[in-house]
Amino acid sequence: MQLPPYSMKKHIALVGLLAIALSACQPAGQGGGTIKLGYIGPLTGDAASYGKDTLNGVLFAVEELNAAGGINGKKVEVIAEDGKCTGADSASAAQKLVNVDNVSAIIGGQCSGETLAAAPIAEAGKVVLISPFSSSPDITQAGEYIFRDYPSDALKTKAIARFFAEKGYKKVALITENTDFASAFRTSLTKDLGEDAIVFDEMVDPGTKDFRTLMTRLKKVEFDVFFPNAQTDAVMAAMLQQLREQKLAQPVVSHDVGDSLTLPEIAKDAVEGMYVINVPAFGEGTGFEAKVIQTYGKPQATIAIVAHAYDATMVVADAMKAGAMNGTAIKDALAALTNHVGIIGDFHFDVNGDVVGVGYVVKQHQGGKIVKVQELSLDAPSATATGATVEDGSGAVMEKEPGAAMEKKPASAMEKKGDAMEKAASSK
Amino acid sequence: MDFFWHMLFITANWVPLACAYTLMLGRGRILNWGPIGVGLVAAYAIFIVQTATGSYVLGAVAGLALTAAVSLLYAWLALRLRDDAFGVMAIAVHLGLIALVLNWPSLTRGALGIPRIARMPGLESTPAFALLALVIAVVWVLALLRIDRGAFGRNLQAMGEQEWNATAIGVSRTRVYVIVFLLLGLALWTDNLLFPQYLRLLHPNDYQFPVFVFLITIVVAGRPGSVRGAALATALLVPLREGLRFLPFAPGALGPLRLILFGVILFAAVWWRRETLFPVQRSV
Repeated sequence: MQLPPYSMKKHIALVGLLAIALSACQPAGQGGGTIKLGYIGPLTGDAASYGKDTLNGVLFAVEELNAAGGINGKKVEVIAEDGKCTGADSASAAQKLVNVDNVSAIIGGQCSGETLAAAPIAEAGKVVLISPFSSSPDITQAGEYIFRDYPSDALKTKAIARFFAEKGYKKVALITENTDFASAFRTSLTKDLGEDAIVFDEMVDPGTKDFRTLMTRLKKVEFDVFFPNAQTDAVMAAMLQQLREQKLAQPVVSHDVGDSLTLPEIAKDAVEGMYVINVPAFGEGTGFEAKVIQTYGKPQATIAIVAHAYDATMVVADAMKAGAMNGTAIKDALAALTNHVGIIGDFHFDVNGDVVGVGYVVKQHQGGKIVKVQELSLDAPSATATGATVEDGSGAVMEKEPGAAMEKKPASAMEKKGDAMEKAASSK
Repeated sequence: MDFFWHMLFITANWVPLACAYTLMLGRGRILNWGPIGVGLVAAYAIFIVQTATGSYVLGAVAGLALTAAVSLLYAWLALRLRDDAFGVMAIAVHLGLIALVLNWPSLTRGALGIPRIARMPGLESTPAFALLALVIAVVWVLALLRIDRGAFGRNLQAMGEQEWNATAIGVSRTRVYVIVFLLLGLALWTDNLLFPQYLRLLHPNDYQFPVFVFLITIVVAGRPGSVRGAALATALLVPLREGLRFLPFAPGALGPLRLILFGVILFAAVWWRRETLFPVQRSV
């Protein structure tokens, strides 16, 4: 078949179409009386569930701000961009938000690659970028305009190392899904536990579901605890099911990904008893969660992610309400912040922009539910509680079983705020 | 204004790759479905060496050498496999190279990528990147037009259309394949010398198959084999993709809506050029 002859007319038509398309594309939100907040996150692709939740957190916060009169009398507008979990898309998104939309601040990215690619552009434009979900230790050094209210994995693995020491787990079997989150976690965990502690260390391709060969090899290894370091709960469920199929009865400890009620649905009994070390289930069971569900439906991942995004937006809004109306002033206000009372608790930022004040808890899968069994602090001596805890409805955390170190604690600011929202919701 | 420079940079930076690839696919009828793998190797070689030594020259030379080596590997495979078999093999090599990067964390940092990549002196600003990329793009287009119209272009087309007849009149298949794969490798090296510096980040997620799908779309829309067409299609599709960011969709729905809209545009482009997507040999 002969190729059609080259047609300049067609190419002129193409360029014409481009011109029409671009002329139709007017920058969103040109209203002069609004404050623009940018958002970058994966709204499409494999990580879209996280993007959807964090975007809802931002939108929910902005809705509240506008209902209360906005910021210093100006309505707030969200300009959302899809970062697709890639550096290239995130860079384009950041360029538009900083240089075309002239946003006051950016909430995002969510994937660490998004945040790392957007960070230099935000830095150059002197626009604060605050990530509600990126946990890579690399972000600590991303720049002075870069903040996050989600803790670095470097801190979480310290908490895990502390828990392992308490439990006497000395030999760890680790299977890692080869993604940026899980790889960063593996690096930090290996550093904090020591290479000798990892007696089985395998990496698998993203999305792998067949671990039978690895589990057969694992049977020949002497280990105290299994750590399924997966990116998604579907992969983690496969790891757990195939671990138990091999009659390997060692305890299992996991991270954020294990903090999912989808796991017992997929993995059934294989997940029973698994410990999860994560940030607390911020917002869960509070009026915040009820209002979010009422407005946007059930979170696709967890309510805690929505809460992180909500607080990231609110901490910026509070800085602006206090008079910080440009990037440098917002950056200085966040750096000088001593305490922000949010859904995720009382927090502020360290000199690198990393969140301070977000602690960790040990949870456990028990009978299809996830129950908090212990708090973990990196500052104070570790808690020795072994009894499960429940929230007693007054905002305080009570022990289920007496005799453990944790007694009734005062309600945290997070719980107070959640309750206040609950009352507000019920009064409507 | 910075967004304009950004758009100019990313558009211009696509041009060498699109133009070199259209020659391979359209003129040579070589179904290379794995060119992004060569770009991955180029980028990691350049910036691993640059990070370790602090020298851009060493990084660039190492990147060029490794890119040439991988391009020759592709050429060798293309010479030994028929069209569709090579297409599948090229995908396999791409996947293998990604797996290598992901699973050699001590060298590549695996899935974490390499952050905080330093920029070359003089390339600190977006306009500087854009202007350099534009100059490189113009040089590439002019050079490839010349190559396409010259003896090599005729040999490549002859090899693509009538391999046995071309061989019979003295055209060396090996020589033609080696040159066209090295040309594509050089274009990928050029792209990847700039792009990670511009982002200040080298991340494996930026070398996955969606990038190749976009490349194919550009080449098909511009008519396979046409250097001018590829350059014009790049100038159309890259700004159009980014231009979709300006459509005023509601935040809650914009991700999927933009994706669907771009999908429709791609569908239209492929439909328009459907007869050249899988070109068949001309029969006498």
